[in-house]
Amino acid sequence: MDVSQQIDLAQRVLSSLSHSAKTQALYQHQNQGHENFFRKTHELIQNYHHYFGDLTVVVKPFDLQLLDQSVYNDGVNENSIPYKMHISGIRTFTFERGIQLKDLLAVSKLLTMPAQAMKDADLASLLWKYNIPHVSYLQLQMLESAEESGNDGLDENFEEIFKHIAVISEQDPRSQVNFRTFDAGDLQAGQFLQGTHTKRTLEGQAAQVHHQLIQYIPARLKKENDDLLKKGSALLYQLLHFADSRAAIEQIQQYLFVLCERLFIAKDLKRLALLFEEFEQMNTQRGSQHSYALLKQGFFDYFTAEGRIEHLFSSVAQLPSISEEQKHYIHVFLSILGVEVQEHITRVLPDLSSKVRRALLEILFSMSHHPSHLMHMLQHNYGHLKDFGVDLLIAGRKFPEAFTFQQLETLLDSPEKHLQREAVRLIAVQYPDRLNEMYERLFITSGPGFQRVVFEELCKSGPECVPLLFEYTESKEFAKMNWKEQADHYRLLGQSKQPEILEWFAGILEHKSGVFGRSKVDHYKRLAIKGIQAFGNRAAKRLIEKNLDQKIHSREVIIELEDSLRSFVMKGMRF
Amino acid sequence: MNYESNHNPSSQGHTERNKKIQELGRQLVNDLHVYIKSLRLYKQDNKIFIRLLHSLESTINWIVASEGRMHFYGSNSTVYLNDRLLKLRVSSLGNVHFLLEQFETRDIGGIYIENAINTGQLSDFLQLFAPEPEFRSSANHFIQTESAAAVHHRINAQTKQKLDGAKAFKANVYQYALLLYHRLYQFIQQLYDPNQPDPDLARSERILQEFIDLIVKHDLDFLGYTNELEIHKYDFYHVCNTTIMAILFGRFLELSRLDLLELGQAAVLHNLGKLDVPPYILTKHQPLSEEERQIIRMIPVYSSRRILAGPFSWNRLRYAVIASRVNTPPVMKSGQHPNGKDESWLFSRIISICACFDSLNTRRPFRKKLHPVEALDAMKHQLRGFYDPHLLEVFTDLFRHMAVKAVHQRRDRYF
Repeated sequence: MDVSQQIDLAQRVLSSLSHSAKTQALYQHQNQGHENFFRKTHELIQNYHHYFGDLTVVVKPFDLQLLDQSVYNDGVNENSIPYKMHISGIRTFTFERGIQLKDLLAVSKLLTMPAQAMKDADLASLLWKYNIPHVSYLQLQMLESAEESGNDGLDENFEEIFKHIAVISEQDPRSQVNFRTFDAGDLQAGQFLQGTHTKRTLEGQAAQVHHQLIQYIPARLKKENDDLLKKGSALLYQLLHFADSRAAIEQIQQYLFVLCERLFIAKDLKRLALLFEEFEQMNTQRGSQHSYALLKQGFFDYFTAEGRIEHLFSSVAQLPSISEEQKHYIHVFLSILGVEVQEHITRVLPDLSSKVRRALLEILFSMSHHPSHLMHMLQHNYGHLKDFGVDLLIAGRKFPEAFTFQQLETLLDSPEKHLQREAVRLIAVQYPDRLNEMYERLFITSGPGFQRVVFEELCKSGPECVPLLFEYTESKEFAKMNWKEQADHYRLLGQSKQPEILEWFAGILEHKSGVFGRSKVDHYKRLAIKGIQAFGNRAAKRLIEKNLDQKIHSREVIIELEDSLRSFVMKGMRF
Repeated sequence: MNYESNHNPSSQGHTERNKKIQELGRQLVNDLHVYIKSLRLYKQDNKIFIRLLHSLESTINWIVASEGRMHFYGSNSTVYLNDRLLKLRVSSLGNVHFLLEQFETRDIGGIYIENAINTGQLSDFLQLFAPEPEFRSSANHFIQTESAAAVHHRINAQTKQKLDGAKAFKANVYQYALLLYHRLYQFIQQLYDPNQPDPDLARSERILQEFIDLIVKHDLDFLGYTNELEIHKYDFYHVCNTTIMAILFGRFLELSRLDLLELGQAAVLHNLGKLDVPPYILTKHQPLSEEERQIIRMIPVYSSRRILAGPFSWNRLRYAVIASRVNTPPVMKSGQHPNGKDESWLFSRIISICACFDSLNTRRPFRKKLHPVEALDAMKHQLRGFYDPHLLEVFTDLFRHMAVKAVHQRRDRYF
């Protein structure tokens, strides 16, 4: 084979490698099968090795050359492979005989790494780290100090340093190390040596390290690596603790941002809150509100940029629920970001599960200076979404100022039972004094289904609602219900566990026949027994027992009382 | 060889001239690029060329006046001016590529000027690069050209010669270790100088990578130098020696190359907090007051804060975590995370031992220097509890063999 064939083959090898690398980059999300993309390249390179030996190309700024001819060029830009090699000081690059598919894959991953991703380490440094077999390179690099010294004539410096080091080397026969990098500062090495007083070397042999220690080290290092986030946050906590000025915090600000974000993603909310609490505490101790307001603004800017906070809270959506403890931690986190963050959080609310959403809504209400405004805005924007309104009402229970009476009254007309129920409950809790005036609206003009909902919710509410409940049980509407429905309502009354209601039941059992017709008295007595049974506590059982002893009841009522007593025993109640 | 010869005044002048030539070279490249590109849009008699021609004339004549000639040539995106490679910014490499392409299309590899020229002569010559030249540029005695092939051949021959030279160039492992130690010293000197900008950590990474290769492949037993008379240099030597010692100890513990690199980088940075300590405390002869001791105890905190200054990087966070627990007295519980166990990382423990050992082996203003065996004994008994006993055991086994010898300039010149 002649030179032109050699160059042609080298071109094909490198073009195939570039093509394979691009294909591999497209499928990098796949974990397996990447080596297959390099089969053709591997065959070509083996072919080259067979005829011409190792393939060594000379690296020019935008070309790879073989025998003075360009064999690879991929444009003039900072992502060009030759360019990345050249700026990291690589001057020749060799694919040695015996190179394997996996080696080609590893090399291509490094060569095609975007320039942006190489901010921390250049290509030569990465090649060192990956230590890929059957790949070698000659790196001739002027280190940074060359530029600083103003010695810009690169070639001249190399020659000068060559000469300088050559003088030293000629004296010594133990020449065995190839130079990889050169530094203009090397010219001062002799002068440096003159300034030293002692030199240290190791003499003699040490015994082998115990194998247990050798085995322990890799496991230990892996654990430490896994713990980096925890240890990092502990360190930031310590730095915040000792921070004596705003500047001291500004120094570590970027790390605070990123680590807080990572802690949130890792759902390590406790550590996150601890950091923020320390930050807040320091803020209060130092007292310079204006300075720390700027730092807080920094937090706000970081977390609200590029939809970061929305992304973080979307990750919360995976949680089945949020505990009270977690709620507290999130509250601490959001408090640092300030009340303005609610606008960002509200955007993710529709995507969350009901439980998580309610928890976040509670946090937002507690942070808000005007809960009613927030409520209005949320209802307006998302009220139409399924379950959102209910979650809003449930979350708002603890915040009386969140709803106006009119807002709740409007919700009573909602077609959704959940909403109606919550609205009644909130009216009962937050506006009990308005219940009397609402009696007609709640129990007379509304349908039976709604009345049941209202009755149930009022039973769950405080003693203020009891008179209204009694009024209803004595109304015409109640009288029209069948036995089953009435019994259901008495049970609800019993479940409310209000002492006044138990007394009321006792009063019914004491009624004399003269007030109602005998069957009517027994009817209400039996209902009351159902209610007492639902009451289900010691006092209720005693009331049943007392009535059994009195023997003033009809046979029907006694049977009902006995059944009731039996059910107390059957349920295994021990009083 | 006179080591001082490279730092005499004439060498300084030479450096300044190089700097000026580089500056003029970049100006020349830029002006030529703009001129040739503009020729595609405007006729050569357009007024916009006047300023460019004057700038080119001034640049070229300055070079000819100071160097006696101007030889400008290039190939493959590299450009030379009077046989000096021009160092160009990344952003201008595209322009260079375009310029050389235009030259090569007209079979020009370089231009050579021996005498001062004027704008008319320049304008005539540059007519060559117009898309449709109004007239053929006549033979120009003032501006000579050489063929692209000749320049290409010459540059490749030069590169080959240089690469062959570099490939064949070898030194013994000790000399190379000295050079690397010196580079590390220079890096640390800059890093620990509050008046200088922070050097790029990638530079120390490259130095350490080479050091690790030397240690791994050649069983290097080199442990560094000391200078006990110039107190202000103590910290530079101390950090260098701690780093070298830590890598050697890490090697003994069979750490991987990558772990050795991380250990080395962490050692380089571990003492940065000293910059925040008032110098009078560091060099005080008398015993320290409790307040001063408290400041000294804060060094790991200051170090980690300095390491974290700047944009986020996981590597830096790792180094900061390591530095935060180097030589931390066990009594220092204040400021600890309520949720964390107080357990130092392995590399913190290694660096702590190495740093203490190096320090005890060096004379300080407030105490005498100890013999390596005495130092190890002190660490084991007087400082019991400060250091990981298992690691200290292994360390003792290795470093009790450390030999400290005076540097005799004549004998040690070449090691």
